[in-house]
Amino acid sequence: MSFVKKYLALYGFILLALSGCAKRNLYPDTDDPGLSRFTSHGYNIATAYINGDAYINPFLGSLRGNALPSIGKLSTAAPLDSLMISWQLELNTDLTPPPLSPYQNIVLMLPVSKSFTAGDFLLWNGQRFSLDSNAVVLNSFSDPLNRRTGPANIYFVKIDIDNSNTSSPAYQISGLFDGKIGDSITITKGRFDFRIPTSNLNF
Amino acid sequence: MFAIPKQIPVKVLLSLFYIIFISLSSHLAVAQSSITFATGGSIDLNNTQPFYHIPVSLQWKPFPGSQNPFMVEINYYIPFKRTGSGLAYSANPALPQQVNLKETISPYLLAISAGGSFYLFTTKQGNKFFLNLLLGYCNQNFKVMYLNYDKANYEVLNPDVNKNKCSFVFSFAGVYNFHLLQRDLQLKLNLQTPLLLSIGRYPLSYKFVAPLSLTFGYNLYYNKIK
Repeated sequence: MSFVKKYLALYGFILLALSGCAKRNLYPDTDDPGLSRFTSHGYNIATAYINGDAYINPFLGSLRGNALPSIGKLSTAAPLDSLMISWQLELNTDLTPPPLSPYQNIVLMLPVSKSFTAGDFLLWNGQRFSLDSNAVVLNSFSDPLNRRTGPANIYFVKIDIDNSNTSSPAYQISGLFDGKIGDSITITKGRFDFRIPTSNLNF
Repeated sequence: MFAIPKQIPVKVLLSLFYIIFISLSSHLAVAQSSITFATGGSIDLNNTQPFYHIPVSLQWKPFPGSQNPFMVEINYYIPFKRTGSGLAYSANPALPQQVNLKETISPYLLAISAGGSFYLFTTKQGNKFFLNLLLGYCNQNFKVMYLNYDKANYEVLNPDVNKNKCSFVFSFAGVYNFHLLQRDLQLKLNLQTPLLLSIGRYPLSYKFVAPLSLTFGYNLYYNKIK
C-alpha cells in the first residue's frame, strides 16, 4: 500500500511541477519583427530594437521563466536619488543559443526625491518622462568599461498592484521607452510588461 | 456560452453525437434526394458583443427514400465588420501620449458538415419538419485591423490579433420544408457550436463564433418519391 502511495505522491508531484512550468510569454508583434506585443498582463517580457536588432530579456528555463527585472532606488550624494529599473538583454534570434550581443544589461534611470516611496511609484501610472531628465544605460558584462549612457523617453502606461494572489501581491508595470546614446546607438520601440512582487522593491 | 469544458474529451462528445444520430435513425425518415440553396442572416451567441453574418448554405441529401437520412452541408458565413476601439501609446514627447483607435474584426467562417436530417412530422398542408444533426469541420478566420494610426510612433496596448483556426463543430437545425407558389422552399433555424478548440493563452476581445442562423432557401428535388 505504501508503495502505491509513494508512486501516487510522485505522480502528483510531477503533475504539480508540470502545471507550474513558467512560460516564455513571447507573443510576436507582426508589425515589429523580433519584438513582443505591447501588453499589460504581467508577462515579464521586455523587447526593444537597439540599432535595428531585436533584443529581449532571456528565458531562464521552465522553472525560472523569463529573467525578471530589478527595481531599486540608488541613493546618491546629490539632491536627488535615482530609481533604476534594469533587466538582462540578449539578441532575439531564431538561433539557440543566441549570438553574443554587445550588451547584456539595460538600465532605465529616473531621478526621484530622497523620500520617494512605493506609493509615489504607483502615482506614475500614465506618466511620460522625456529625454531631459532620464537616462538609459547599456552594460556589457564581458567588458565592464563598455558602459554606454544616454537620454531616454520613458512612459509608464500602466502601474497597478495585483492583489489576486494575497500571499504575494505584485506590481504590474507596463511601459514604453526609447533612447539615443551618442551618435552610434539608437534604442527604438522599447516596451516592457513586468509583474514584480512588492517585496522585491527596496523603497 | 458554448465553451466546452476542457475536461470533456472530444471523443466523448463525438460518441454522444453518434448515439443521438443512431437513435434518431431508427425513426421513419422520409428524406428525398435534394439540393438546397439557402441564405439569410445569423447572429453569434458566443460573444458578448456578437458578430453578424450572411450565411450562404448548400445542402445535399443524396439518398432517396425513407431509410437513409444522410446529408452533407457546406456553409459559408460572410461577416459584417464588428467595430470596437483600442488604445495606442507613444513614448515620443512630441506626440500626444495616447490615441483612441477604431478596431474592426471580421470573422470568416467556412464549415463542411455531414450528418442526418430526421423527419419529425407533416402538417395538414403537406409541409414537413425535420431535425438536422450534423458534425462538421470548420475554419474560423478572424481578420483584425486598427485603422488610421501612426505605426512607427505608437504601440497598441494588448492588441487583438488575427486568428485562423480549424476544428470540429456540431450543428443542430430545425428545418421546415414547405410549398409556396408551386415552389419547394425551406426555412431553417440552425445553431452551430464554436470550434471545439481553445482559442489560445493570449487574451483576445473575441471568442470563436457560434452562429445562430435563420435561412430561407429553395429545394431542388431529384429522385423524388411519390
